Amino acid sequence: MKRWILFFLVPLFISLTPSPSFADVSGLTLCKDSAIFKRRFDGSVKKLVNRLNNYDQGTPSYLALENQINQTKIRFDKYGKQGLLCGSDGLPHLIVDGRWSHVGEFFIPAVLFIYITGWIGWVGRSYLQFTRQTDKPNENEIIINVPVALGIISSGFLWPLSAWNELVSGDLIVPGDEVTISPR
Amino acid sequence: MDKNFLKYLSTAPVLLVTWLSFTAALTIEALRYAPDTLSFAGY
Repeated sequence: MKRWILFFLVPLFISLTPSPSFADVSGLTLCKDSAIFKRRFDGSVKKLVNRLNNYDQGTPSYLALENQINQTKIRFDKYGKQGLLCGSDGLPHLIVDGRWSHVGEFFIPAVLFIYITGWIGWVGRSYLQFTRQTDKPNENEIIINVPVALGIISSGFLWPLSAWNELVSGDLIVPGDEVTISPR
Repeated sequence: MDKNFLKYLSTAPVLLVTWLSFTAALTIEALRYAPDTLSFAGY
């Protein structure tokens, strides 16, 4: 038990330790200050402008390339402004250790991913549990009862709460001797 | 609507294709509207 508590606490403490310096994490520099980042931007735009010369003004290809140039400018501008850190390759490096100053680069998307995958899994599990109560469980897995499924899907956004409730009430997991195992 | 046709529409493969098409379209349009989502990282 003690080991489990440590298992959860140690990463928590590591992630909550304030970083001594904001701009310089393991040799990375702010992208807007990085000369190589700037060079990459110039290179990308230059390549597109060169291609632009192959087309007449106003043609669809010309307009598409022009649009692409604008988007490249916006992208590099945004990456520079929001404090992304660049390595010696001039590309943004994401900080994934959970420090708050870079929480949007990995941590929030990761939590969102787990939330959405959990939603999908929870809803599937709920539907299977529903089919088990019907007269024909197999048929309900092949011919989906759409009204019931939609109801389960739309209420599934609360899955972390439901999962916690089921864990506390003991419905989430079954004892080991109830789990079927292959003959050995 | 014919009951049998409705039942056909509720079969798993049909629903799977419908659902995946919907999700794909949603993702494609969302990313067309807001490309380079790394640029949200600062907010």
